[in-house]
Amino acid sequence: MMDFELNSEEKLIQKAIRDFVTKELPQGVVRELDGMGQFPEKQLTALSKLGFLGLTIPEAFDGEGVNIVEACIVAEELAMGYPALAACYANAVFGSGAVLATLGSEDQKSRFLPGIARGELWVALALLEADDDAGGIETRAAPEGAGVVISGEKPLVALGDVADAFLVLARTGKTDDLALYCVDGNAPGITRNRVDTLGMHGENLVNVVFDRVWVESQAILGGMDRQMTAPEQLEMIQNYQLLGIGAQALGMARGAFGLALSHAKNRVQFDQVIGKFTAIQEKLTDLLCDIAAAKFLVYNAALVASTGKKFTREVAMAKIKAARIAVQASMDGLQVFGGYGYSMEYDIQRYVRDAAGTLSAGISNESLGLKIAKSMGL
Amino acid sequence: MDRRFSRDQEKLRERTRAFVQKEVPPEIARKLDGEGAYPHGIMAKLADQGFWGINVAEKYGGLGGGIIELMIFFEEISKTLPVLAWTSGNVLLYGNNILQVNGNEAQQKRFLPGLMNGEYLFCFALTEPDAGSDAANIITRAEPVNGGYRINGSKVFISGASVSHIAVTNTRTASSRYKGITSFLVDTDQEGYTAAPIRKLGYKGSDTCEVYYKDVDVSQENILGGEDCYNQGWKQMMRLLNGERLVLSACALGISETVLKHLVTHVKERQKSSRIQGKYQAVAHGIAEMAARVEAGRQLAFQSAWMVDQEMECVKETSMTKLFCAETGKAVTRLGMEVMGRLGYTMECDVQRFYRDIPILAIGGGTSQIQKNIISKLMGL
Repeated sequence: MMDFELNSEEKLIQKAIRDFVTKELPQGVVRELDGMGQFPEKQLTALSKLGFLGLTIPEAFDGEGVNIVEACIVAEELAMGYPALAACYANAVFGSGAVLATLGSEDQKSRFLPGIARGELWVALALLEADDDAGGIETRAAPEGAGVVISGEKPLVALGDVADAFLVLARTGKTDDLALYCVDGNAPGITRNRVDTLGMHGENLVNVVFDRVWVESQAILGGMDRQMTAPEQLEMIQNYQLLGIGAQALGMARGAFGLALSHAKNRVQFDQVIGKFTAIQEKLTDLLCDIAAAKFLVYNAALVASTGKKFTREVAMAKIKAARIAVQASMDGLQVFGGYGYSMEYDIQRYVRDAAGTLSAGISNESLGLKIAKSMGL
Repeated sequence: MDRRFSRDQEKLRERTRAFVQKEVPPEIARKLDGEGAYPHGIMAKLADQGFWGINVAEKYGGLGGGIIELMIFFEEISKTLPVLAWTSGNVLLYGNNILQVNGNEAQQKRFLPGLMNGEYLFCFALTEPDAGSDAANIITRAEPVNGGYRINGSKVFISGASVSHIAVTNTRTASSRYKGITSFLVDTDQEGYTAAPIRKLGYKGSDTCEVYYKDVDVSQENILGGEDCYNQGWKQMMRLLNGERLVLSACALGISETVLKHLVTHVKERQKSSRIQGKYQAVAHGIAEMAARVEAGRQLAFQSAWMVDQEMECVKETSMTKLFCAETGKAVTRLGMEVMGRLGYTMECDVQRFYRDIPILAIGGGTSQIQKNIISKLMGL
């Protein structure tokens, strides 16, 4: 029997992160950060000082010990108030922390994990290219000397602007074999071009070009004596990435819902608060039900991940549902706000812009649907 | 039943399409959206090319078109840069249409020629902070002073309010909810009138403003329709609603049609490069379903327009049209964001602009909830 009740430690984490959001992320601050579109470094440093960035990193590497559920709680709560910050956070704990703690060689763990836990080292995932699966990879890693030379272009890499290192998926040699490499961000031959996006300002997308970038052989993820094949590693990385996106999407849905609910309780039209109209009640009730469903899916995936079992299908379902409900809550929320929702002075428009990104973040809902179908034997 | 478009209507569609292609290519549309400034340049060109006469009676030198001509124009213009539809409203709807439906002859003679040649812009000031869906709740008041009236109060979400020459201003002139509203033609140069643009999610460049009236004096002649129309403002507005709903529906249709076009192009390209056969069936079906809804919306919209033209009772039909077209537009653009993938999230992709534009069409001109109120009430509920 699954237990979705938070235990006392998880409750403490939830309270701590809620306090952080209340204290560090008042409306004005978030609005300003969204407007500037800068990496929220200050807030992330504060989160790391509280230990939140170490929630997927073993204590031996300066982390807090691995706790996937707690990391989800933090990502969800952050996304309620400031989705882009949650995305940066999820990148640290899931996209790089959990990934390297699980798949990295001992050298890679010592090299990256302590910095990630301190919020000083950022690793961006440079995985997919034109397509949503590894079949579309054209970036190549060719042997040269005691290493490989990587050449290719990775479009729309999240946090590509601030990344100190990239985890790059490439084809090796002339075969169709794939490999993942930890590439130093300062290596000669890397150029980064930032791309403007609709939302999630702060978790910026960058087109990264690797022009004959040399890395040593040991930079292969997991080291020379790695246990997993690259496709297996990729699946694991993407599952962690999707779990982070699912938790964010859930938080965004709750954030948008909360704004809509409070507006419905305060806005008076036709001599009563609009929340008294059953049409508005129905909208909010539907959202509440769907958010609860998404929450079960996200935390179910987190619980399965915590056991060390494969959680590919669970996390795919969670991400699809959470992304959909995030978009729905933001658009319905805007409708509840009416004309005010359309004004940049109100926050609901930011959820509309941010939530739309969850549909295609990580792996698109469309491709995840195909994955689930495959897992059903179709 | 024959509801084909007339040759003149087809020609208007071609002419509008050609104008948009030449003057508003996608890169210009993107630039204008990014800058968010009122598109005076394009408005001047529309005036020069005679578009401001499409719904002006022939006796004033116009083309004498009606609701169908307006819808054709608004649909075509919304396909590229939706905000142009709103700025065009500052001439075609709030100027030409309001004056011809509710103005008296003197007002028509005074303003229509200038509206047609691009000299005048009109805005329509009804909504207030506490009077949105509940529009009859307005409290901006006009009090009798020295044989005229003095207006005090504020309005919000008034499009074109800082660039317009005349603000058609709806005021409280008696306590009766519906029979205590008077509409004035307010010269915006007058002292005491100020308008401040609001930053918005979409429809950037519409100059949608908060408007303040502080002791703005107007004369009897400024009452829309003349002195006899004192306290008749609500009734006057009701006459505009069928047209407004249909024009907004046409905007939603234009947006939907363009997004569908983007999706077809995008999916075709992906299909070409795809290694997996049949992978796109689900996506193709999603697009097909939306195309069916858009076509249904078009049929409903032009059927309702035909009823308006025949002077048939059609409040239920126009409300259904507005509800259906706006909600369909939301569904289409949302599918668009999903199908376009990561690319759709970048500002280089036009689908995100349409996704930002569309929500207001389910809010302005009566929210979808208000349309449902009207429809269900007319069904006896």
